[in-house]
Amino acid sequence: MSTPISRRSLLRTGGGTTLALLLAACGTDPAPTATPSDPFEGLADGQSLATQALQTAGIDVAATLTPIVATFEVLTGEHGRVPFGVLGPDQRPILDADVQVWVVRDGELIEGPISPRFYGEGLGDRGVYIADVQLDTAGFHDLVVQVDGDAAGQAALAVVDPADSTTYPPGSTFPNVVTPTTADPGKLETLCTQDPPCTMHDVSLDAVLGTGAIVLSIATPQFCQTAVCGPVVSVVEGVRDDVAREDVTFIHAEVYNDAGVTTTDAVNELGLPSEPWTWVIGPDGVVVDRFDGPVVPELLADAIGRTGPSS
Amino acid sequence: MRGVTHALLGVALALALTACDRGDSAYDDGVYGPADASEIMAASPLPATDDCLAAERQTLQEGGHLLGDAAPPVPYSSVPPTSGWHASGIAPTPGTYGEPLPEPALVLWLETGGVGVTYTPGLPEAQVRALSLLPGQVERTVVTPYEQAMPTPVAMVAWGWLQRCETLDAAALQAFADAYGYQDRSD
Repeated sequence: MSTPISRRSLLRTGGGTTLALLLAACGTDPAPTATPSDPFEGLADGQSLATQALQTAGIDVAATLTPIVATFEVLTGEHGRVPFGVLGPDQRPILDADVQVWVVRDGELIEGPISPRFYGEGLGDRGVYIADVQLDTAGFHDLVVQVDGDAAGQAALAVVDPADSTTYPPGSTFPNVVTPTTADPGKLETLCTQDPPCTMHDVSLDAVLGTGAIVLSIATPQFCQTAVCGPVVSVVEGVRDDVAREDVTFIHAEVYNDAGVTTTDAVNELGLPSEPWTWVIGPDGVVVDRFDGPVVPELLADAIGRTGPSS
Repeated sequence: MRGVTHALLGVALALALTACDRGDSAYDDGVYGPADASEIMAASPLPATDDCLAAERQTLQEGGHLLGDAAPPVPYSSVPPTSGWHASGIAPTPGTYGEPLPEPALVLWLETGGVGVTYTPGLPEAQVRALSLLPGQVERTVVTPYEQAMPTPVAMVAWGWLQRCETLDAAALQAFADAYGYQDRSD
């Protein structure tokens, strides 16, 4: 749809072990990690950049948490949504905690503190925090996350204007692409890699676009089995059953034609840089909402509700 | 041997956490990867040698799956990368690559528990030949030239870990792989 955001200069990082950070937090000097002739001395490192971001947010602790930003890009304006998880210093997920987030950029506090909502229902033993942000400027930002008013961490965000989004944002008209069906699987070796296969392959998108509301999910359960994207197809299928809207068509399309090598025509036509993606499309063919990465059942059901009343 | 190492690392992590006495009820028993992946991330850095700086734990990035030749949406936290957005589909096969392995493919390889050796393209031919033998000597290794400028000619990478070297032999790579590799992070 447009040019993806360009990469900024790569960071050089000196790192520091998790154990060292733990010990440092306990007041013990960390073990030295470089020789006296360290060629990296004086270079900005990832840890110091994280610390700077935290300080911009007014948090005076070392970065010991790892926020996991689960979205390819965050849109400027009213549709800014940041799904994320948080790993503790021990690399274990921190679920349903008292979390606050800030968005900073180049030493400036842009937004926050924001209290994200944790969603765990329907996501097995995992979950995801969602922070709704309203950002004015595209470009790289830092997400600062603090848990229980104490430990904190930072992660980079790619923020884009909807007009420059890598794929179709809310408010855009969705293209009339063909998706494989039970009757016509096209080039696919396997119509659905979920085990057992989902039941969202009855019709092609191009056969129903513009005739009613649609939920389209492009994901590959077999080749993306992380906590983030693995459950997407099953989550969408579960929401379909829960909302019981006869006037809404649910479609799942795989990412690959084969064993993870050749992407499908639909993926290519939509220009997807990543997976999974899920769109909620209104009867007029205009995108009502989209989910870049994880799908939260409650938010998907809400978006379906915004496509209009059931007929 | 590795089991003993993991047990010791686990004890070290437990002691560190106990010493900090966080008492956070929000910490969950579940993990985003195999149980001992957290132990690997908590491992102590290998010390510096005559040829290598000490190993460094990198700022860990999680990330989604990229399709085709899409670039990651945010920069990697290190050069070369050790975690973050990575390629989808089939992981690279171990061996020596003549052309630079794309960074997302390298990170995918690391996510599956492989280790990588990157070197600057200007490395003398004799050293390149020596490096090319490493995949036959150390399991689950890829050797690839690396296009970004590195402070040292050679680097070893595993998920979340980086060690920079002037030169590299199989013993050093094996030690690095034993310490930080061989743990599948893709859950």
